Amino acid sequence: MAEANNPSQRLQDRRPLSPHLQVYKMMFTMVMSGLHRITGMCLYAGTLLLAWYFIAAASGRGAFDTVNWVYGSLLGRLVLFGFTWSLFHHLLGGVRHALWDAGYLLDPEGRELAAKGTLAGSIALTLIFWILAYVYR
Amino acid sequence: MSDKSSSLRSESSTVRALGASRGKATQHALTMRITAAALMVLGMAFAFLVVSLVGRDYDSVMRLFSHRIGPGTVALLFTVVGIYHMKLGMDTIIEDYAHGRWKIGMLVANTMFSGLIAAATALSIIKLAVGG
Repeated sequence: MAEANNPSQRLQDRRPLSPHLQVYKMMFTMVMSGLHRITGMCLYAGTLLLAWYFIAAASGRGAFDTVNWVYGSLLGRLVLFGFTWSLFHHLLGGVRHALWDAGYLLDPEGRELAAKGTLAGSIALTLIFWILAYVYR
Repeated sequence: MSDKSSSLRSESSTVRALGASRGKATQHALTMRITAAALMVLGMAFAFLVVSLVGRDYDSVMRLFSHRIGPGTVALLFTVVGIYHMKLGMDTIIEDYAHGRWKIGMLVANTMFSGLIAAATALSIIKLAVGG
């Protein structure tokens, strides 16, 4: 108790903290929960890509040709690939949350199934999107 | 707390809306779900629009948006609803991790960034639709 009574330590620093990431074993559903937030944050940054395309198109031929070239480059395609995966992953994560809100898939097996379905579905939708993009361009 | 005998405020009114989201939690949760439901449809529709935009040159994109209403409508709705959903989601993230002055500052910055991106993108889409 010597430490707790040490007046030089601020009260805030002596208060117990609720357990967080470091005390739990990494679980698949945990990672998927984190990914939902992380993909959401990626989409936040990704709106700049969306905005750039439309602003460039509205600004004129030169600006549009620049954005078209950047998005068509290897690095551009790689970033857009990540962007589309983030979008589909976050979209299916939303479906998963809607199912939970409605009371479905809340048991351990259901949670595991929903997490696997979200990951598999997001990869499948991303691949379908890119195959369509290459076929119809 | 203040002296009960000299205050007309009820005790509950002195503690309400002091949580991280300042009493907007129910509205926030509902709006997130309603915009999310809309975005499931709009997101898929927008993905199809993007597929049809891939590889198009300037003249082709201009023709698409100025001759037809559908593409611009999908782009505009996805942009506005999506950015509103995104703004609300980022509010939650900020309320989770930032506190005090940082929280207030970041919430304001989030509103400004979202508003700016939404306005600039929406205006651009409208400009394309009314003829470049």
